[in-house]
Amino acid sequence: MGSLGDWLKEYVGKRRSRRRSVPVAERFIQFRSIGAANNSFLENLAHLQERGEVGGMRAVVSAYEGLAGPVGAMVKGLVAMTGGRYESLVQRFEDLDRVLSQEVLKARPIEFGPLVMWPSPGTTLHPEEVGPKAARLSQLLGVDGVQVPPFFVVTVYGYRAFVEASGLQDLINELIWDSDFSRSEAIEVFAHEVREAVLASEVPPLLAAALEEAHGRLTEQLDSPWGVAVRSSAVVEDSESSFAGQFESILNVDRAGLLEAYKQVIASKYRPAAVQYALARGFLDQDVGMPVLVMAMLQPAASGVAYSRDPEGSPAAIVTAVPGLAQPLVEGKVTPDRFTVEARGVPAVVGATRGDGSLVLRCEVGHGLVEVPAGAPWALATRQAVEVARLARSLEQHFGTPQDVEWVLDEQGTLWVVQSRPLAGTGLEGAARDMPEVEGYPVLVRGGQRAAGGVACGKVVHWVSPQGRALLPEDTVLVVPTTSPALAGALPRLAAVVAVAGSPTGHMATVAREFGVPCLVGVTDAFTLLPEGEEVTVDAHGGRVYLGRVRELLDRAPRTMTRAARDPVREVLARLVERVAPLTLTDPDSPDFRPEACRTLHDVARFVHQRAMMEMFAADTLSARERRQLHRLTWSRPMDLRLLDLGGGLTANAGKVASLDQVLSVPLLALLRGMADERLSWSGPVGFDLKGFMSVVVRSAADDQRFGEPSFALCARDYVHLSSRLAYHFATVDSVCGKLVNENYARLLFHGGAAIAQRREWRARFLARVLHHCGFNVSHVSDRVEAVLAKRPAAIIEEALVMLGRLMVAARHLDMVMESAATADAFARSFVSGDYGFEMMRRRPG
Amino acid sequence: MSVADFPISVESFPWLVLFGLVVGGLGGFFGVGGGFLMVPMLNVVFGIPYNIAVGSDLGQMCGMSTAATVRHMRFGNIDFKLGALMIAGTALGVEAGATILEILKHSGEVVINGRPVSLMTLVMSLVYAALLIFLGTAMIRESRSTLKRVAGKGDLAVAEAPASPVVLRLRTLKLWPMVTLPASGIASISLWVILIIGFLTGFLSGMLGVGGGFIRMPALVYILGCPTVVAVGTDLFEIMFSSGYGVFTHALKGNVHLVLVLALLVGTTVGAQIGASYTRKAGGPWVRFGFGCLAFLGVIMVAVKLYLQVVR
Repeated sequence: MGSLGDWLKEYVGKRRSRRRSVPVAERFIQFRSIGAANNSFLENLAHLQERGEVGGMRAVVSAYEGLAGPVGAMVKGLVAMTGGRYESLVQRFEDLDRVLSQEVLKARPIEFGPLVMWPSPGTTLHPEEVGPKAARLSQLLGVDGVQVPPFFVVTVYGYRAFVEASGLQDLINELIWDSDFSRSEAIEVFAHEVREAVLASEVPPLLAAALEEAHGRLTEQLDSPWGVAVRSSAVVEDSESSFAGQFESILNVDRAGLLEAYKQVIASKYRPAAVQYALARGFLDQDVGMPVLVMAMLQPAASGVAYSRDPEGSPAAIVTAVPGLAQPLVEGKVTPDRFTVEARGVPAVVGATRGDGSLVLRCEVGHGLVEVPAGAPWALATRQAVEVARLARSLEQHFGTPQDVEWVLDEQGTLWVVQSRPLAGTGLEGAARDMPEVEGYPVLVRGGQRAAGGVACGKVVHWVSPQGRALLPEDTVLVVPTTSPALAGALPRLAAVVAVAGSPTGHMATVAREFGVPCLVGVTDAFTLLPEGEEVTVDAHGGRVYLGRVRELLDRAPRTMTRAARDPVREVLARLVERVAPLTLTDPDSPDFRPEACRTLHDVARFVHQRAMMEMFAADTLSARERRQLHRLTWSRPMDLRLLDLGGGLTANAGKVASLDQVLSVPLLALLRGMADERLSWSGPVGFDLKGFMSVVVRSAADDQRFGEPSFALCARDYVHLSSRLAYHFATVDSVCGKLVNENYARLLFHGGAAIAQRREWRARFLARVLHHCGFNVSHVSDRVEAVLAKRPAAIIEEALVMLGRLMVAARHLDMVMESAATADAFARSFVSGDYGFEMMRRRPG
Repeated sequence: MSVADFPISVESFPWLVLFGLVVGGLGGFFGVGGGFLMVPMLNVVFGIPYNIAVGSDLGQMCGMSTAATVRHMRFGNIDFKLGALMIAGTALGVEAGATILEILKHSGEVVINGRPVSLMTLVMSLVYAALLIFLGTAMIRESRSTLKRVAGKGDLAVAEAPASPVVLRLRTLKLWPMVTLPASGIASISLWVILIIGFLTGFLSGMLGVGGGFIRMPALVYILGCPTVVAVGTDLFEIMFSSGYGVFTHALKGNVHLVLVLALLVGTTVGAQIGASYTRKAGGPWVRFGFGCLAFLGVIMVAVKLYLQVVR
């Protein structure tokens, strides 16, 4: 017989898997804590899914803890409950948890690496370690015709060493998690506090030593009177974002000021504008590492920014230049000289505009910068401008994309590259360029310089100071004195920007292009031409500003590259919910109901909860010690019932023999109430069937020695597990009946019987009918009935238990009298109508 | 052949304990059914004559059931009135059974195939073989049908099978005298029903050395209508008396071998514990299937033994 082999296999398997038998009381404790954990998991999940306000990252992380915590506890509980089974579930849970906390929440473990790295020709530094700026510069070493000043990098490991050793990271995390960044005041407060903290903290000795040692090596090989430039090289995962000008560069630093400069650069990560920009682009703090570039300082004759081609579409290269250091240029404080260099064929300057040259900065001997009077007519000679353009072109060729190059021409006439990065916002516009003036609208401004193309309409707001930035309404056309990078954070919400001074190659222009915000610079009288509160239409392509809403333009030129400001916290939350909430394990009877098939935390919770219930449900063997702790219930019915108190099920004074009024367990009392129903009959034959009787005789000759054993009930205040042997069948009731509606259930398993199989089936049919009528979820195979009523308030569960109590007594011998399915149905009708003793059936003739 | 004619050697004592252990283990595993094997196996394996096997088995049973009954008595699960009434029938039955065995014991030998065979051995072997065949068949059928149904292969669709034609309604038997059993909550039942049940089980005990509980217990529940708890207690009480009386009457007839009783008592007490701890893990249908097979094995052994006696 093949099935005998199967049985053996299963039997042996069962024995092997039963590693350690856990006492029922202990199992119960685990069972209850699993139940409670399941409930808090479900509540937290519902909370998370329904939540409108996201709050800070802290809220998301603590929400995740509120999910993973309970599920982890559930898994542990199940393992403890089963004496070490389900180890694979532990593995599965840990995998899920790792994926969620690392991929979704970005809580990466700390990696270690060198604090300082040096570039060398032939090897490139990795952007993840040194930041993209330093990595790109390292690629230029040894490239023909390209000069890069010597530099080293304090790596992202150095950065982490700093923020972790100083306790900064904890503080930052605290602050991030507590802040709701949808409110801009929160950003200001956050930025301010972190900056203060960064500047106040000490660079850890190890890092300080490494920095100073490297500085020594750098200056040794230079032998120049100038110091070093300390610049940020922020690591961001989304390299599309420029972070242009968001981070500070400290120029001409000597050894004494080195650590301070380093801290200042780190602190610039938390300038309000930088924070706002990062958030607008969807970065969380952990996404932005902060390697710092330390580069030999050059004394420039001129410096500036070159675009290897015009971001507004024309193939010409654009070179902007100021005398001295480029800082006033990139910060938008001055209007630089601007050269348009036709790069095709023989490069030639095809256009040049004169800057104001109002602010010239140079390096002071030793350290610091000094402002010098403006002198030379042009910052660059035409020849030099062409040389810069050629350099930009060769960098474009080298990197394969249009480049935004920061260059320096030193006093010896050598051209240096200090930064080269992909040019933002190229090739994405062009549809609505150089539009003719639209008739019928007053033109307020003509001849503005296009920094970022596009057309937008909005109300004019004059920007005077950084105060009140939070109050900027949507659709604001902001008029500013200069194109300050400090505006970057506010940019995504603006309709357009009009600047009095500034350069189309400044950082803000880059950011404006990134967000698709039209931007005009060099509008000298902007503050008088554009009165506050006026609705205007800015046509950045045509360099004009119209009064009123110019439909013709707006219709033709929708904002071409609007990248809506994202809410990174909300995105994390969405990803989190996506990997936690779906329930894919639904059918406990399916072969796929196993640990390996759990795909979400919800699956794990469901699996544990179901298995824990089944473990309790199968709690039929008591240890010898537990047998000694049994209380014998004395009550009015001929049923020998032993009780095991698992906590709060009986009064403290209950002895070996307990009376009914010493029972506190709510569900047990409900069951007993049902069993004690006056209408039930406990004695007297219900009927007799010879075949059935012989079947009983045969069956009692083997295997049914449990018949007549006392029934036992495990009980706690809100739990009962009753195994009853009222006759030749097994009946088990298991129920939780407490305050947590989600945890409540009543479950009945009933199988076996005395009569022949057919009659037992009819009894099962009777049971199934009645249970179905009472709202149970019933499954019924052969003589086996399993019924569950779950997630109902305690009162309903109690009522169901009273009914189960009645049913267990009433049905105990019914298998002997079931003559047909119709009898079963008739008995069921009789029971449902309240005739629990089947008086009606008895009176029936025959 | 009385006990005096059948000395049990010191050497065979450990083997008897071991045998008791095995049979006790089977008894523990298979429930009451294990007892069915005790008497024929004592005869087949150790050559112990049936009368001594029956008498000594009853002695062993008496010891076991007394302990259990005392335990139950504390809980008050025994309907003493019912027990007492039933004892009358039981005692008569035991006496009848023992007498038949006694008659067989003294009725000498028959000659089959030119060889003398004790009539008692022949009859008892045949009776036991018949009993084991009946039980074995019934159990295998029972277990197979249960297994089939559990596996979902059963013919559940044919739910409207005709009602069993034989529906005894003993409850309606109003034959005088009627008695009331307050402890069992039974208002009125004919005394004869109780006596008949007692007599039948007693007869099986007296003649075959089995407890008779496998009939009495269902009868108490399904014919008399006792609550299960009371049925269990009363059944144990009844076993104590029927085996007690059985030992008494068999002892008078010289059928109880004290050394054998002792050996069996030791073996079964231990064996039953071991056996019982394994039952629950196996599950009812398979236990019955296993017992069915074992019963047939017993039949074969009995048959072989008889055959060898006749042929050699």
